Amino acid sequence: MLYSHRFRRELLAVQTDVSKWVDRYGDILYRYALARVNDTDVAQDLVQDTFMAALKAIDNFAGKAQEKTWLIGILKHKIIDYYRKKSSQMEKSTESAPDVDAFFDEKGRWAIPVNSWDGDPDRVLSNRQFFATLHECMDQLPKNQFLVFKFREMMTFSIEELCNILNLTATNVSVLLYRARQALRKCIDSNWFERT
Amino acid sequence: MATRIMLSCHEASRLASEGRDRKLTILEKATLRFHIYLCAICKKVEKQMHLLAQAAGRSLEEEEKRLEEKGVNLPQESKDRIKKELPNS
Repeated sequence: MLYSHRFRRELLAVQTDVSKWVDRYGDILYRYALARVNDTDVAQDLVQDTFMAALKAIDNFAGKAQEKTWLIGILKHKIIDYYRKKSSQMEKSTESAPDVDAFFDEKGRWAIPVNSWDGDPDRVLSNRQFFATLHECMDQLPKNQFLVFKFREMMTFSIEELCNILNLTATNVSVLLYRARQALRKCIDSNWFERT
Repeated sequence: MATRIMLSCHEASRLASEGRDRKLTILEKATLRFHIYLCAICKKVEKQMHLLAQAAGRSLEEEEKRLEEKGVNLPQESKDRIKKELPNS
């Protein structure tokens, strides 16, 4: 195939840009991936796949100002694909957790204590102990509830993406999320709160 | 679902959770807001659910920040390998 001089110059310019991007954004992308997959080898592979995909899709890239956001968007999809492939290895556990129905009486009214947390959300979100408690409570969740909460609330995957990764219907996912949220709220409530 | 005006707390908390993941119907939204308006406990629970979601997202950011402070970077061999894979200029 013959390239015109100008086309070849532009092609080289693009390739150089992506090479520079490795230096400029490689570390950020790596830490983003590592925080979400907890595996250094996998994180490195995902970053590599991201740059390869970016090079292929460079024509779709709109403008300089969105470089990092665009790359992270590609990486996020690579992470979703990773979890989707992994899902066949995930245990399909049976739920054995405190039933949410037990939180309510026969008329559907609250039957457990519901305490007030610190009135100032920003103060709560700056409190290290709160996060420690959150993680301890997450670890106590049954596997499926833990996963839906992690994927939905931490990684902000869509419901459809959750269905694909976990091989569940939207209704299944919705029920699991409800149970996870209720269980976590109760666990945190029992273990940590500041009276206003 | 029965079309009643007054939800129970159980129903309301379920609907509040659903509302975080899909668009509620006008009827669902109205019955939920009506219940929350009248029920101080469910109002608290709704706020706490929201806070939980924010905390979850924030904890990942904190993890990334922690990694950065520890100096965790993409290994140089990895960077070199990627650059080598890019078509030669």
